[in-house]
Parts: sequence; C-alpha cells; structure tokens
Amino acid sequence: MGKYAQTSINLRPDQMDYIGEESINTSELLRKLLDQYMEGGGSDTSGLEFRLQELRQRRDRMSLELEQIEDEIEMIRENLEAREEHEERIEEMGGEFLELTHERFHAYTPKQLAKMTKFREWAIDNDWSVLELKDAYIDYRVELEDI
Amino acid sequence: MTRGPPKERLTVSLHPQNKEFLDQGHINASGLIDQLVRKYRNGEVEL
Repeated sequence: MGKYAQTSINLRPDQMDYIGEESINTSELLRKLLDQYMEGGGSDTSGLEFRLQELRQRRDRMSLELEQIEDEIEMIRENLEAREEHEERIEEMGGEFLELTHERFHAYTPKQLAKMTKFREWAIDNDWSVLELKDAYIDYRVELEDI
Repeated sequence: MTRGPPKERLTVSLHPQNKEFLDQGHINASGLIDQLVRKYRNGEVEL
C-alpha cells in the first residue's frame, strides 16, 4: 500500500450504500474513475488541463537538466582539450629532454643558467648549443608557468 | 434552498497523482467524486 496516498472524501449516503451493497473496493473504483477522468474521460476539461500543466512542468525540468548536462559536457571537453594542447606544446618543445633539464635546473633563474658550468656541460653533452638550450628551456618553463 | 442529506466521510487510498489532482485548490474534490460515482452507477462511465 506504500505507493498509495490516503485521503478522505465525502459521499452521499445513497452512494455509500451502493458501494456497501455491491461490495465494491471503493479505493480501486475511485482510482480507476479518477485515472479515466484525468486522461480526458469526463466532459470537464480540468483533468486534461492538469495533465497538460504536469507534462509542461516535466518538460521544462527535463529541458533545464539537459541544458545543465550540455554545459557540463562542454566544460569537460574544453578542459580536456586545453590539457591536450598543453601536453602537445611541451612535447613540441623537446619533451623528455627538457623535462630532465627541468628536473636538474628548475631551481635556477634564467640569468644564472647561461653562466653555470653544469648547465653548459649538460647542453654540450646532449648535442645542444648552450644558448639554444637556454632559450628552449626558458620557453619550456614559461609553458609550465614556472616563470 | 434545501440541502441534501449530510454526506458521509470515507477514507480511501489513491494514486499520489490522483491525490495531487484533487488537492488543487480549484477542484471540488468531493463534488467531482460524487459526480464520477453517480455516472458510474448510471452506466454513463465504463471502466
């Protein structure tokens, strides 16, 4: 019975007698009559108007939810795109080698780098000119928003 | 104006949407149910 709602109604005595005499399940009869009425069985259109209003409200709720889902999809898609672009930019700039360079030299300022023997050796050992590596590494750090 | 015999109160179990429909302010719930039962008794409404 959990799915039903209890409510009180008023009936004329003769109708109460009729229901009693015919051993009618009143709740079941009224549910059927009301369902039929709300679907448009009666001459009064208020049942249909109610149903129309109910459907419009449901449509509006669903439409709002759809908009929210579309917004969220767009937001996540943009976020993923931005991350992919960021990864691509880093990859284009030298990928793994610049990552290693960053591990070793992230604590130094751009000014300090060119003068550092360790940095110069690191560049030459890896077939880079010191100046090119310094420029590429500074760009890399800008991409990483590290400087 | 003569009033009819007093109506009798009865508790029934309805679908929530039926109850919501009847609970609307502009619906005369008892009047509507009275009318539906009368039509059913008269054979004007078939289930």
